[in-house]
Amino acid sequence: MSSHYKVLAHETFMEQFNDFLDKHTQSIQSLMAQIVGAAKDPLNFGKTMAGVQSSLLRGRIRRYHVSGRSGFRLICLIDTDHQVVMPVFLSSDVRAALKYDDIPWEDYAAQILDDLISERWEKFTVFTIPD
Amino acid sequence: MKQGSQKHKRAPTCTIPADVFRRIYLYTIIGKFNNGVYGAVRLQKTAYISERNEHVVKPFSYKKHHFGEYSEQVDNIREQLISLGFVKALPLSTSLKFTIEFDGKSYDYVTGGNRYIISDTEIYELCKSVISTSYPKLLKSVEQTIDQYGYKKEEDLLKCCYDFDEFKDKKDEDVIFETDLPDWVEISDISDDVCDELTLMFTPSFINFVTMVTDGFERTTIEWEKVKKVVLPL
Repeated sequence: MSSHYKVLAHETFMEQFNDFLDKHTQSIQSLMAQIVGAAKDPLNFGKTMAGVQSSLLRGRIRRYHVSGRSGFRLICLIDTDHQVVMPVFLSSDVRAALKYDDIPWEDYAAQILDDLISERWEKFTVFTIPD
Repeated sequence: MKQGSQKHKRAPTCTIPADVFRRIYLYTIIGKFNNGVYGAVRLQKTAYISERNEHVVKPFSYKKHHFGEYSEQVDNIREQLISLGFVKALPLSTSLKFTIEFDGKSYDYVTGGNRYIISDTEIYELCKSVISTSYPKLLKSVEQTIDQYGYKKEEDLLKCCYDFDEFKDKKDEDVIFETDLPDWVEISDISDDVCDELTLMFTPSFINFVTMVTDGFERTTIEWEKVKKVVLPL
């Protein structure tokens, strides 16, 4: 049985993921390394957002650099109870051009919640990571 | 050279968007007060007086309102800081609390003012360093404003504000001044990674998003056998 966390992505992330694979072929290896690292060492790999004030969120949000500090950003939610890593955001812009206020977070949240409540599991993808 | 154009002795290490800078700036003002800010009006006026100095950048736009100099941005950002958990609004002893029953639910409503305090001194120190490295004169102006006006009785503070020439010269709803903050603010001496984290922490739509998704998953049992499986293309 695998020891690493499951990586569960909603289709809102899969769109960003597939778009990234098309546009940034030179960074694919780095992206995969971040996802594998997050799954295999979820509580140490990447950086946690320590300053978040909400007790619900504390320790759950982790950030990863794709293609280095000045490159792209991957954000995952970590669920230790269910041993799940959920990638929720992958930037298509490098850090210097990234404006988080312009990301349609509310649309993403509405779609994910709607699919969860309606149990539309076909909207979710689990990545299989070789041991 | 006006301060708004940013003079750097060292190369900037990162940039943050203007809206995030405004949240960080207002948080810094609140944190600068000993024992919190007594009332939203005091916060409005402190931000206004700090900015009216012509040698500092203006993070907020101000209009003449029938209650005095007013910035809608300041009110909105104060509410955002509360919803993010960075600022606590404590009802003043002079305030009145009502509970309204509506549609089977009860809502608390407080009138008569709140005291606003920061909830995280470590984040406050970081925010203060963002302001001091990007616009040191603005931070100095905030400190001077708080010393000179911040602890006056509210009626005395209002009287001072009504006596400013630029206020007396304007009609209701006239713009007193517009923000001249650049779309991206350059920050030196703070790592790009810290800037990135600060930006996310001070982006309410992102925090709402992760809250909703986390809460949604807490309430759900995933049926793994129905979820699509894809081998990660390593």
